[in-house]
Amino acid sequence: MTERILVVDDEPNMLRLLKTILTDRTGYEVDTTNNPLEVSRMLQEKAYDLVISDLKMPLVDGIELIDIIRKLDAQLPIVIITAYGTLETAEEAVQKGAYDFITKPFRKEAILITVKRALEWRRMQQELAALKAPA
Amino acid sequence: MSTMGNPPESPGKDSGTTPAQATLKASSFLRRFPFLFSRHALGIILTFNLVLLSLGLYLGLKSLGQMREIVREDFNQQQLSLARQSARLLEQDFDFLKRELATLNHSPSIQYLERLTWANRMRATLASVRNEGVVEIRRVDREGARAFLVDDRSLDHEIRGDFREDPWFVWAARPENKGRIYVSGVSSSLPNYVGRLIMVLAIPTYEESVDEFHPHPSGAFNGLLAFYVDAHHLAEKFTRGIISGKTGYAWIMDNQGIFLSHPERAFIGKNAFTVRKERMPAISFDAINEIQREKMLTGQEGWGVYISGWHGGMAGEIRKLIAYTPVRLTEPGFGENENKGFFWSVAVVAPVSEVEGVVHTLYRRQFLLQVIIGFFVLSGTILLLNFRYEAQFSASLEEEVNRKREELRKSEARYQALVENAADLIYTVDAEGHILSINNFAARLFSQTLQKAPDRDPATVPRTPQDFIGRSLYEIFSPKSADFHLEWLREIRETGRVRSKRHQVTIGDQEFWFSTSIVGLKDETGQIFSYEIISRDITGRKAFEDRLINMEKLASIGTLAAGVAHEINNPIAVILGFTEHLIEQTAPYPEIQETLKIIEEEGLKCKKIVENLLTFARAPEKSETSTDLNAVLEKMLAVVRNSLFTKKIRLETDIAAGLPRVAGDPRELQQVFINLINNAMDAMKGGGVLTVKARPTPDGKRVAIQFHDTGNGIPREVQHKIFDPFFTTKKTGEGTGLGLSTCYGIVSKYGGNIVFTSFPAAEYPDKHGTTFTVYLPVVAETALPQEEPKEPRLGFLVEGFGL
Repeated sequence: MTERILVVDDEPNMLRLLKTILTDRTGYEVDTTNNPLEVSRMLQEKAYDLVISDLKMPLVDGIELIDIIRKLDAQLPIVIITAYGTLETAEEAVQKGAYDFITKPFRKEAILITVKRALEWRRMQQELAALKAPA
Repeated sequence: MSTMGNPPESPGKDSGTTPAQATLKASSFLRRFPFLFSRHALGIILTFNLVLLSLGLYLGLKSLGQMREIVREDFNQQQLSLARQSARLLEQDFDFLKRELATLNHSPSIQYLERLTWANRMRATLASVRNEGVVEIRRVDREGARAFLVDDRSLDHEIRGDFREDPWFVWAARPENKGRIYVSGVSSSLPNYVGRLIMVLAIPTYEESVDEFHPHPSGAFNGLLAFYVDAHHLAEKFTRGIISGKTGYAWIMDNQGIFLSHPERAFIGKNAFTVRKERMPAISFDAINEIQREKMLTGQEGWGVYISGWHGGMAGEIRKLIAYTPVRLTEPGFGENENKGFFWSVAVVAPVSEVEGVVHTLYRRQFLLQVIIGFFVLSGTILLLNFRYEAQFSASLEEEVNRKREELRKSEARYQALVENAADLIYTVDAEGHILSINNFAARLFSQTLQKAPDRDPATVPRTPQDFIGRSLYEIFSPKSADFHLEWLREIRETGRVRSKRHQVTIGDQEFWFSTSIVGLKDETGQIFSYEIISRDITGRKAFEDRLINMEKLASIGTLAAGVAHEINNPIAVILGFTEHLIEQTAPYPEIQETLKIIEEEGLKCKKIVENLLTFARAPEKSETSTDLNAVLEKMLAVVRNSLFTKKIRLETDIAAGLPRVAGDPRELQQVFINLINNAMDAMKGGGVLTVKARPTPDGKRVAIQFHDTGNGIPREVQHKIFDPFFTTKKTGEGTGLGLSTCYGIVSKYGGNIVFTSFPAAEYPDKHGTTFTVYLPVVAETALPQEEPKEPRLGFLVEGFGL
């Protein structure tokens, strides 16, 4: 089964870049939105395995988005993208329950490795849940 | 009265000749005039004597009158110079207040009323103008509906009200008054200050400075900034210490005739014309009222005599001497006559009796003697007596006059003391700039500074005020500063304008900032015979002001830079991301790949700049970490040792062992030290010595780390900009101009600071170089181990390089 990733960023070009990197020879299915207010609707319509979100956005910032997603799905891993120099906020995001963070500008390799680890973690969570569930 | 029983022939008791000779002389002399032995003789001689006596009395009275005139005039001259002295000092204070107001008005936190900083900025200024009587600093917004103020207890308030009707607000709102300063009359009915004599200095505020939220200032009117000054406090500062003669005193009134300072407490704040009448309705105050109305309130200078109803503790009709001079608070507007503008007036008064008392007693005694003598003159012998007596009298008169002179000298000495003990430089010069008189303060400052000058032999430097008399300004100031003073004297001679300036002067090899006013002193004919120069040394304040402005500038540049860096970061991330992606995709096309690699390389440079900028502008972190300086310095010096060696630079270290831990992140502090060492290396292109010292400050609260190089120094004209981001002296592409601003950002984040002194090689060929000192606060209250300072240890010594 293909893994689905949702990418949230207010900048269309950044979205295109992330989509290009993530779909290039990986087999992931990637949806993007530049409106953080749409995220909860999209998550309810389709099942995703990972959300990648920018930290600084108008209307809703990354930290608030974590809260919104946690309410819908407590297990869904979230990777936060942040500018260099706002590390304190990035650490706050991790405390809030984000899986990991990446600083901009990033190398392609760094993104792919982080995404891979997050998806593996997601798979293990699901397998654990399946084992625990009454057969 | 003495008897007249003296025989005519009896000689004077103390004639110059022996009694026997005198008798012989007189009798032979008298025998030639048989008339003297006639029976009318006595009557005639008596009448003649009486005529002579009244003539003597008349002449005595006349000379008494003249003597009185001379003494009065003398005394009033003295009083006038005393009044002028206080007027000048008062004007100095006024200029100071106006400058402080203008300086504060430049601050962005005041212009934009920034929520977090305006009150602190006001408090900093209030601390320095409190002494001049400022009781409140107030900033009124554009609509005149809100006021932001700091009161004399340094508490800040924000109040709502309707300030549009305040005369200074109406004045400030008119565009032609931009950049000018409003001086209000004194009022005792301002809200919150009822009963206190308050005057308002106000300046219109326009949005003109740059800060992070206002990168493009609108230049629009945004209300006003005002000082509320307690005029009584300010005026009394200068009149309190004045004593003229034995009991004379000084008072000051404003341009409406209100007493601002007066030894009679009940008079302060009252109108001079009415308060006198109320107190003593029976006395005619015409003379003083006329002096006030015609002369003092129109800004003139002069002296006179008037009748008062009291003096100190005495009451009744008292004649007094008065000398008065104006205090000019505003310059006349363009094209207005010299006497326009805004005045206070200083008067110095003393009772006539005090001045003339001495002369009176002297003359009374003389009359008595004359009368006695008159009755003595009954014969020719008495002529002799009279002659003797006259000689004696003139001797005693001379003695009295000398005594009088001595008294005048003493009162002069008292005025001298006022000048001598002033903490300002006060000296007079002639038109060519030769010193005629100088006070202790000035002599001390000149002398101490000149003794330190490298091109002077300390033995030849004048020391006492006496040594300075006759010296030229060129022997004290640098040629440029002396020219500046002489040019100014010429301007006063030609235009008669008197105004104070703020200027830089060089004495020996030191630079000072002075606030100076020069007044031409005129003789009776109106010719200027000398110039009085009063300078206040404001070097310390100036440096403080510059630092304050610089700190604000850096803070706003920092936030600006952070904003810019964040904005640029995203596009760079996209550019680099796609470039990297394309490099992978274009493996078969090496030329295209090469171009893409160049794009990537340049993009990475941008990324580096943005990272540095963000380091410089980072907000203080929540958790404070601490650092072991010994470890950091040791590690860092090990890193740079090699590059120092290859650059022929000798390293000397003097780092106290067991330094206390300081606030700061070890990696960031290492970055700071490496930046400073890099700059030092760049300054010593042909080799040199780098000295690194570290030790606790004497108070134990901070540690000072010093980097001293023997390089080519920082040119004087760029010294104020070296901490600005992107300012670099290196060639394009060699330095980003972010090194020192990053250092500043890091050190101030941890509550420390960086200072530097630099001697550019162009000016100081034999001691050039730069010293940067980083101060970092000690964390944790541990007692400092009392270390013996170790001998400087040579890191290594490079021989054969001819250093």
